[in-house]
Amino acid sequence: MTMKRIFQYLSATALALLFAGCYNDFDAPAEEAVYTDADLVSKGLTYISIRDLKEQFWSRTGAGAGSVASWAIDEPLYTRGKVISTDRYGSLYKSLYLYDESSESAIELKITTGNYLFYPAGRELFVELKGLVLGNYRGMVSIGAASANSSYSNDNLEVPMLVREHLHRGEELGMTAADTLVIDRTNYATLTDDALGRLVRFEGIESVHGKAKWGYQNNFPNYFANSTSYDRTSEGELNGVTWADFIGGTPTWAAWGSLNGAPTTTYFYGSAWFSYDKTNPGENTAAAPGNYVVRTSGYAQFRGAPIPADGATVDLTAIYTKYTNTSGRYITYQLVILDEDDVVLK
Amino acid sequence: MKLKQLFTLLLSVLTLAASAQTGGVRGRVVSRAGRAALDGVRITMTPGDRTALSASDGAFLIEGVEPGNYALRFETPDFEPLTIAVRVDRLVHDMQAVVMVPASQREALDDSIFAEFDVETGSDAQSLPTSLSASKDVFNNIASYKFSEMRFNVRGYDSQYQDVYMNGIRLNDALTGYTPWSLWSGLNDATRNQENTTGLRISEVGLGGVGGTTNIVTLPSQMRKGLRASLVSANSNYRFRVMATYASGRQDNGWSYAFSLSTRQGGNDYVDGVYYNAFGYFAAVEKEFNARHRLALTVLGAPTERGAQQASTQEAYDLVGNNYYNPNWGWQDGKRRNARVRDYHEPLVMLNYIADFSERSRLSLAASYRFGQNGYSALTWQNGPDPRPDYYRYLPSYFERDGNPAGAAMQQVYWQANYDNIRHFDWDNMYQTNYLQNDPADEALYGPGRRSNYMVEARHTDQRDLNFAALFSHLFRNGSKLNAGLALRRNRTEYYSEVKDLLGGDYWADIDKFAERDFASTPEAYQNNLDYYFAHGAAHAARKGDKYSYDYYAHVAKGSAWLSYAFSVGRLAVTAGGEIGFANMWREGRWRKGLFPDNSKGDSEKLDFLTYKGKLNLAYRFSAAHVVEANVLYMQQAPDFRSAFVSPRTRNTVTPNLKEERIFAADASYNLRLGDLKARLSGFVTTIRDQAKVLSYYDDVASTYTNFAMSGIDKLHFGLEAALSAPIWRGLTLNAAVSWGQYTYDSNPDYVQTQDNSAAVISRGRVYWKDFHVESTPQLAANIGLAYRSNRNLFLSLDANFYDNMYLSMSPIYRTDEVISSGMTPADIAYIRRQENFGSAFVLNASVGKNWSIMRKYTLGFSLSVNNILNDQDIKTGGYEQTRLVKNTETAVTSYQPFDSKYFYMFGTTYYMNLYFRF
Repeated sequence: MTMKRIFQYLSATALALLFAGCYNDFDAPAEEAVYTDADLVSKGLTYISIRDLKEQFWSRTGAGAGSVASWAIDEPLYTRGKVISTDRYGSLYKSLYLYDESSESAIELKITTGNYLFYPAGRELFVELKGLVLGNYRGMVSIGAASANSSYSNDNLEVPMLVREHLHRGEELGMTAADTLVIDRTNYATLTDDALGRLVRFEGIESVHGKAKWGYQNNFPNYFANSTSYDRTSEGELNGVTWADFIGGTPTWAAWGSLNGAPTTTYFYGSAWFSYDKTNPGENTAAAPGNYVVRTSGYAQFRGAPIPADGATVDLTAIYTKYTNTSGRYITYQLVILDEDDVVLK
Repeated sequence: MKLKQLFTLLLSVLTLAASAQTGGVRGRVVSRAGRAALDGVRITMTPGDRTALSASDGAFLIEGVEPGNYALRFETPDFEPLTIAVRVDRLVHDMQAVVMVPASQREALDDSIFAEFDVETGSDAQSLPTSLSASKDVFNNIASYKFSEMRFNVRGYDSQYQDVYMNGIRLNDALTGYTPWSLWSGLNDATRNQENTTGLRISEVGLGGVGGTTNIVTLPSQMRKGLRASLVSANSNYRFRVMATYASGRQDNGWSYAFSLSTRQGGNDYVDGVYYNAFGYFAAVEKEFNARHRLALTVLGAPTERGAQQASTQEAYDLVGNNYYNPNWGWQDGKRRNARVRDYHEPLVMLNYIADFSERSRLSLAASYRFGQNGYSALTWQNGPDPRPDYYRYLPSYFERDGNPAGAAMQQVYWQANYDNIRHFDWDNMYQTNYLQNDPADEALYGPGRRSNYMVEARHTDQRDLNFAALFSHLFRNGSKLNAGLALRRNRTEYYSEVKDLLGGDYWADIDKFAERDFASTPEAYQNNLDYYFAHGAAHAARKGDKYSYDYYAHVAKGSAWLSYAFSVGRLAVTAGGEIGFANMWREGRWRKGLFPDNSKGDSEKLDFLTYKGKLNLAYRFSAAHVVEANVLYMQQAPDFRSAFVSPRTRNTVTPNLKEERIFAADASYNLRLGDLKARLSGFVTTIRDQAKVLSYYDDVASTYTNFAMSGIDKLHFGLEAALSAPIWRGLTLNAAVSWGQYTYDSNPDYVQTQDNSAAVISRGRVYWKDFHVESTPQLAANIGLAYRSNRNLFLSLDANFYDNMYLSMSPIYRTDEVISSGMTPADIAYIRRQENFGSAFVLNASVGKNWSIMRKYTLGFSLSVNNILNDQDIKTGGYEQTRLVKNTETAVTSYQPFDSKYFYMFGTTYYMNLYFRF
């Protein structure tokens, strides 16, 4: 074999080899089509509005606000709404709120983390209800999955595959003024449980630091973790940390820090009181109308931002929720702030 | 007249006297097939270690030899090594034709046969087992090939204890010490010329450590002339391989050259998503200026892309129904797309200059440069649920533990049916999610475009490795030999991560997501490149090809000088050697990390280590047949770069208590050689002290990402090796080998655990693993087999291998006090600390081959080997404990339970068929 021949064979082989492996070429998929009602109907599903869904829940289960009650849906139903919440800033966890403008009703969906990525605020969302479980927790109805724990009426729908089977994105509708219910000093008495789960803007509301006259008569602001609550009147040291060390000069929306001298981090819920009528002692054990508690998770990115000073007036936009004890008493209306910018000082 | 006669007589007497010193041996090496001349055959004469190479006509000559009895060993690739006893008188003895017999082609051993480890703790490739080189030692020869299926490590040593040289330069990785086989992976023919020493023997190119040395010689003048081409079809690592190599042999004009090209393509029959798309190229050219001076240039590279396998838990394997489930891939565009793909091209250029001052003195100078890039891809995500299909929360066991048997049952159904591809990555969902991203808050910071939540990154370790070595050898007239050398190395490796595929998005916001969670109100804290942030007001919006997350250099400078002297005292051969050197290393951060603004950019503390070695080899030759050997070594070496820094991706902090590693080793052997019967029995003991190791992982006890730095790790290895290769009848040979060892951890190392986000110390203490076993190699391996070679070059072999005492790689966390809660009894503690033993395995392998000689010049042949004939798919070959813990907060006292361990399994029956052609 001559050198020339050898070179020829080898070059031919080399060329062949160059074209041999093309493993890296993956075409990007096309953008998925948005869902419409027609798609759901064609699956044999019937529409039910969020309002009707919640009404059916209460009537089927006959439950009181505090009780653990579930409705495992096996009818071929679907509902739809607009996503009005974002969990991007950490104040919501594994949860999103859906608002149906036509029935002016909202409901919570218990899913997994990072919902702002998949179901951003302003997006229409269709929910196939068959196989999901509607449950009540201390006065708030939510759509989720079956819970194994008898203390909870439903649980989060966490398996991504199942989430995608039940939730379908519709059009991008965008957030509009109609999505937010506006409440002020003149009309707060009109706020009912119909608005639970909705975005509500409380205009001209006062931030109150002090002891509430209603319910448990807690001191506000206070912080809660590991079954214990801390506020400025907490006696002595808090597991080795004084109130001054814990919260410093200005109370913040929530707290995060190390207790017990241990390096492990504890995340504290923060509760702050906002009111239109702070002297009202309320009836029985329920909070007086016009009094609301902003409850913020220790995981919220804005936990370190200060709560408006005692007496300050603000406009505050939040998700309106309810929280009772297991007997349905000691009703408090809790607000979940989604973003630091939702609180505007007047 | 008388005067003339007298003069002639005197002259002849004088000549005779002179020739009393000029005995020697000559001959002509030929192949049995057609008596074709064999050039480039290495001939070694012992005692004395004289070497020669056969010329293009097969002729060789060794002269200037004292009369006596010698053994001549003939070695060349593709032929069976041949040893002939020869007696040298006062004249040059002419052996006439020395006939060598073609050997059977063995299955190629390259790094592709080992499954990829994909350890979650963030460290990169696992080391390869030690046995990848061909060896003439009877035990290593069997162990290398036959035990490689179980990732067997000779004497339990990791690959960093085996020294691999090329043309006199030690090429073990500068940062990890691992053997560099991947640099020339696929270039088997070009790197076939190897000089090996085993165990504690001193080699010609360096003293070596405990695991032997291999020196690959790529000088084209030493490669046998001719073309070799082969075609392989297989189903265990790749589907096919094509290789062609041509060597010109030593030509009359003093030039010689060689080149080789190869490719390996395709996947295998067992694990999905694993594939090879690899090439190899090699070119070497050499010029002999005269008989004394030679200059050679070698260029080689192995550009490779291959998909990796990830181990999974037994639960996942059982749900899928086989032990080869690979969670690394998902369907895209009708094809399997693997998230973890290795992509590297690291060429090596080497220049060698050899000067033979005389027949007895040689100086060899070598310089090499290795460069290129090495990337390993991974899926990464900013937020949202873990997209990996076998994440613990998506498995039935999670639902069970949660008290949800109905949920567990449903998950089991989904997994078993692979409902909606639950077993695989959902690439489509990731693209759709990325398409959705258009938050005005992001646009304000990063500009228009989609901010990717998911992307594929490639973690790079791009090396620039410069080496220089000088070797000097001198053979004294009394037969003793001096070898001396100097080696210098300077390495700078860039570690960084690169945006490889944005999966439908436009950019990736380069921030630290864990720091953002904890320090959201101070944007400086969660910047990965603080200087960029100050200059632009926002983090970098990284696009495809951009670096992101971290960027630093590892600097290593090493030097050593060594000397060895070999001499004989009667029947005792002694070789003694010493080496002294230094190692210098430091980290140079290129970016300022927001969390550690004062301790991340720029040079770290410069670490200096002293290294040294002392070795002694003793061999007592009772006769040519019986030799007893004893060897001892004491050495101190520098720790590797990876264990020197607590969190090199984020800061310059050095591992506390970092020290040089010290090794003491001793072994003794009895070697028997009766004709073609070879046997060896050895005992060895090795202690390794003061190793360091760093892990980074999410700690469930502290609920944060941590760095766990261990120091003072000691190991004790001792055991026995025995091997036999005995011809039984005609062409039938029996081979047998046993390696029995006890490789354990000999101390409870100290550890310091720091929070990655803040460098705060979370805990300190000890890892209680003394007397637990060193992982990932069977501590008992035994082989018995038969090999047959007929007169017509038909080869058959059958091997039965038995393995036992293989242990799972331990997570140090489970053996600390942090996971002990107050309710635990001693039995509970022992249970959480126990180490899993894999149990025994039995494997049967066979091969057949034949070659034909065509027109006396060409050889055509094939070999087919079939492994794991019994198709046992339940043999674990490795695995590791996870670092996560299940936290039980339901009980009165928080208690912890380890996550399930992850395993690798041996493939079922596989075949490897090689068709080759040579001339």
